[in-house]
Amino acid sequence: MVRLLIISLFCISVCYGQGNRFAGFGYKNTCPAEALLFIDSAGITNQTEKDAICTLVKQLKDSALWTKMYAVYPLLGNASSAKFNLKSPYSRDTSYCLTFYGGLTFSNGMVGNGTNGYANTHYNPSTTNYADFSFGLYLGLNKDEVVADMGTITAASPTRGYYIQARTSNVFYMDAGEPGGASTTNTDSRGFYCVYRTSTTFAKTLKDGSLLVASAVTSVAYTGTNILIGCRDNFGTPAYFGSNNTGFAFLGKGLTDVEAVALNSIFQAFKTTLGR
Amino acid sequence: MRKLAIILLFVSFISYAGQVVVISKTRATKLKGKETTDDLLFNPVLDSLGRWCVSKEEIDQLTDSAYLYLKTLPLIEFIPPKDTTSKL
Repeated sequence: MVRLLIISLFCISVCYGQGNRFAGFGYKNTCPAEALLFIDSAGITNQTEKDAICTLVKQLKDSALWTKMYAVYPLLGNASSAKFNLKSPYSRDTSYCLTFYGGLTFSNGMVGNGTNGYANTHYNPSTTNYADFSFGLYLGLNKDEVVADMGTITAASPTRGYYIQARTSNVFYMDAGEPGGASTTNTDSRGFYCVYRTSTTFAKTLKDGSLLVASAVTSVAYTGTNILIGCRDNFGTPAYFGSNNTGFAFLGKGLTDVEAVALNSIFQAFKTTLGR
Repeated sequence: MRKLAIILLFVSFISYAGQVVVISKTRATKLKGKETTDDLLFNPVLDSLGRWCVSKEEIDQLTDSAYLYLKTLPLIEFIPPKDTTSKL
């Protein structure tokens, strides 16, 4: 009888121990496998950040945006964690894993130093369909600088590229593969910028879900270099280094207006959860 | 003269982009692509006078003792080179 009691006690203790092993991981049942892989690769231990990633992936999948993304950069933690692409969280260039250069620091994302800090996405828009593309980022600081916040530009005539320049002398500049790009007044650089096109003849930029500028200049095939974050690849050389705080970035296929607005809502929820 | 001083002050203010140390071209070549800390690589850049520079932020994050000599070099204000090729 005593032996039975001891065995029972042992079993209860083992079962409790196993249950406890996953305490705090109850979300494993509901968190998408892709999010769990990212959390593991990036070594994220903070529960709020884990929850934010799970929700982000779920919402991207629910809104059919997941399959449209080439790269999603939540930019959590230090360089070793922030480098991972949520879509393919492996340390290799072909997964568009970020490579960080120069004097970047990491707090609520990636912070430039205005001198030489930037991230290489290893994504070259020469490989993309120039009629079907989107990219964007979230900037957390209000800065008026002669810098580019994200992108690449080629010298091959006609000069064109893919870039976001949030605020230079209170003007926003963008280019989505068309010669010349577009610009409009922007007196606050903070916000979530989403540049997208689904045809060669029309591109739009939303800021926090509202139309900032539209461009009707026809996009043309691009032969150039990788898209950088925190500066711009200028004819093959990183230049115009910014000092803003980039809290999120993405690269993807073209979005409809509805999808672009949905992406903004998903990002805003992510931002609120993290308090960025 | 006073006007010139104000203009120079204004130009240096808008061109200001942080502090750096000046290093030789040989050192810059050696540092390029090496890690300052995990997953963050040195990126020496040229300043307006054509000197190779490493930023204060890179030096602050140094973990490899092989590069500690950078901490002994004097910091100066960085003035980026003028770009004559682009439309930014």
